[in-house]
Amino acid sequence: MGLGFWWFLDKSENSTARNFIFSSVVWLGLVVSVALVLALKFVWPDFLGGVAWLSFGRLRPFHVNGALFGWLSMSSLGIMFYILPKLTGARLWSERLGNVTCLLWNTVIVLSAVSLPFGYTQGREYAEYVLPLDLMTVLCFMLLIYNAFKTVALRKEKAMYVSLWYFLATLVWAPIIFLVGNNFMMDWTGLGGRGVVPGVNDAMLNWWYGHNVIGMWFSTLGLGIFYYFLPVLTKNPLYSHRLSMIGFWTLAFFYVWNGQHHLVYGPGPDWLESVAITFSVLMVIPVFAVVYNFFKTAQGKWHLIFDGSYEALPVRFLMVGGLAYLLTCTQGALINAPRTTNAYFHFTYWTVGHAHLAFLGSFSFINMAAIYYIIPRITGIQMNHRLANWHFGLFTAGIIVFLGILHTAGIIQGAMWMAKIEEIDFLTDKVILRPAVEFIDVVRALHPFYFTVMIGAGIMVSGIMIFVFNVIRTVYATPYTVPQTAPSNAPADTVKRDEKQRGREGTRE
Amino acid sequence: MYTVLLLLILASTVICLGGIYYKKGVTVGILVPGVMLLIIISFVSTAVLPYMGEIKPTPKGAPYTDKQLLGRQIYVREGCWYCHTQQVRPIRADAGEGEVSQPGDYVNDYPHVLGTERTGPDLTHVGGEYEDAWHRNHFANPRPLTQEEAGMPGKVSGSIMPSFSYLSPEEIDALIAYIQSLK
Repeated sequence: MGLGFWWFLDKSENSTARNFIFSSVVWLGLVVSVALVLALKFVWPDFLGGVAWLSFGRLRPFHVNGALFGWLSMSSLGIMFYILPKLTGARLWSERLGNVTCLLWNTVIVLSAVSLPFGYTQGREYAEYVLPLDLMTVLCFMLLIYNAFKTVALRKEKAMYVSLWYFLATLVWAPIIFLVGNNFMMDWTGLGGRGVVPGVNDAMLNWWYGHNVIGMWFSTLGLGIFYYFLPVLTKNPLYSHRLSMIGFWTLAFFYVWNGQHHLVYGPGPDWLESVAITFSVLMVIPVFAVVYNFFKTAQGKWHLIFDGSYEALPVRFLMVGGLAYLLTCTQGALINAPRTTNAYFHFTYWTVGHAHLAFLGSFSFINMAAIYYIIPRITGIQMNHRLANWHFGLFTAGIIVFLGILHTAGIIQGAMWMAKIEEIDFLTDKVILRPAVEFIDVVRALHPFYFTVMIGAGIMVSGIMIFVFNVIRTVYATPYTVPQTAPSNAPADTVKRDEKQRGREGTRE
Repeated sequence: MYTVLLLLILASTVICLGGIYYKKGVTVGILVPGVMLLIIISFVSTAVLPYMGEIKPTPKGAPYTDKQLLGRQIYVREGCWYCHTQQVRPIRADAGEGEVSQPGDYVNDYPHVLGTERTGPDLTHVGGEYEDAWHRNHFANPRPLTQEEAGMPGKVSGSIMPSFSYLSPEEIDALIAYIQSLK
C-alpha cells in the first residue's frame, strides 16, 4: 500500500484511524528532529545560526505547535476514531468525512510548518497560528463534532462508557476554547494587528486559552484513551464506575478555572490568581479519582510490565503513562501552582520539565500504547517487537535523563535567583535586596545542564525515531485487502508472507 | 463582584454534583449542556469578570513611536519573548530588577509579551542600561568569537542568545529603539 493522496479518499473501515495515526507519527518524526536542533542550540548557539527561519525563536513555535497539534492531537483523534465504533457498536458515521478532516488537519500543520518559521505568528504562546490557520482548525473541530456525534447518535450500545464522555465533552469544549482564546481580531500576519484587548487582559485571555487547550483538549482526549485501554489491556473490569463519574465531572468543573496560575505574582488581579491556585490544588480530586481507578483496575497485572510478549507491550507503555500522569498532575497542583513554590520555580526550567513530563511522559506514552495495540489490528501485520523494545528502552531512559536534569536545573536556577545581598539603607532604614549572582553567571552555571539535556534528548529522539520507523514500515507493508471484519489478533507469523508480498507489488503498479 | 463570583462557583458546583448524582448516569442530554455551561461559567468568571477595561496608563505605558512599534513587531516575530520575560514580580527572586510591574505598564501592548521563561534576563527595565552600539554588537553576535572581540561592549561570553545577523540594519535600529523604550 503506497502513500498517496487517495488515502484520504478512502472509505474502508478504520481508514480514518489509520490515516490520522500515520500522519501523526510522520509529524512526530519531524517535530522531534526540530526538538533536537533546539536542544543543540542550547549547547552551540551558533549551530544553524544566522538563518532567519532556523533561529531559535522561529523554530520553537513550530516545535510546540507541531508536537501538540501534529503529533498529540492527530494520534489522539486517530485512536478516538478507532475506539468510537468499538464503544458504540456502530460503524463510524462517515469514514470519508473523517479522512477529509484528516486531510484538512494535515494541511493546517503543513501550513503552520511553513508560516511559523517564516515569522507569521500571533505571538501568543500556544496560539501562534495566524488567523487563516485558526479558522481552518475550527472547521476541523466542526467536522469532528459532526462525525462523532452522528456516530454516537446511531449507536447500538445504549450505555455510554467513560471514554465516550471524555471524547464528546472534549469536542464540545474545543471550538469554544479556540474561538474565545485565540485572538480572532488579529490581522492576517499577526504583526501590527490589533487584538481585542491589550496587555494584561490579553495575557489573561492567552492563559485562559493556553491552559484549557492543554487541559480540555489534549489531556481529556488522552484520558478517554486511557480509560478505554486500561480494562482492555489489563483484562480487568474497570474498578469503579462511580469514581470515574466523580473524576469526569470534577475535572470538567475545576480545570477550566486554572489558567491564571501561569501569571502568579504577575500584573493581573490577585484575587483571580488566588481562585486559579485554589482550583489548581483542587485538581488533585479528579486526578486521584483517575489514578485510584487506574491502580485498582490494574491490580494484579503489574507483572505485565516485565512480560516479554507482544501482547504485554502496550500495557508497559500504558502503565508508565498512568504513573507519569499521577506525577505530572500532582506536581502541577501541589508544587507549581501555590504561591510559595511558584515564586521559586516560575520562569525556571522546572516549568519546562513539567510541560515535557505531561506531554512526553504521560500522554505520548498512552498514545504509543494505543498505537502498538491498534496498528496490528487495522493493518493485519504485527509490528516489529524488537524495535518496539528498543523504542521503550531508549525513550524511557532518555526521558529520565532529560526530565531529571531539567528539573534539577530549575531548582538551581531558582536558588541562584533567590540569592540576594541584603543592604540597609541608613537614610530610610529599609532593607535593600540586590542580586548576589549576575544573571549571566546563572546561564554559565547551567551550561553542563544544557549539555546533559541535549544528551537525554538525543537518546529520547533515537527511541522515537525507531517508533516512527516501526509504524511507517508496518503501515506500508499492509496488504491491499485490509481486514474488514473482526480485528485480527493473529501474531506476525500467521500473516501469509505472499499476501504481504502481493501488497508490495501492488504499490508498484 | 465577589458575590457574583461566589454565585458562579456555586452554580458550577451544582452542575458538577448534579452530573455525579444524576440517576441515569451520563447521557448525551446531560453531558453536552453540562460541560458547555461549566466552561461558559468559567470563562465569565476568569476572563470577563476580571476584565480591566479602563486601566490608567503609567509613565511606562506611554504610547510607542512608529519606529518603536516596528521594533516591537520584530521582537514578537523573532520570538524574543520565549526567553525574555517582561514582568517584575513583588517577590524576593525579582528584587533588584527595578520597579514592580503594574497593569498600566502594558496598555499599548498588542499582543502581550509578559513571557513565561527566563532563559535570558528580564527586559522590563532594560532601556537605557546599555548604549545603542552595545545592542548593535550584541545582536550581530552576542558572544565574542575572536580574541579581539572578548573585550568589546555587547559581547558576553557564555551567553546562549542566538545571533540576529540576518536582520536588516533598519530592523536592528527599530529593535534597538524598542528595547531602549523599555524603562
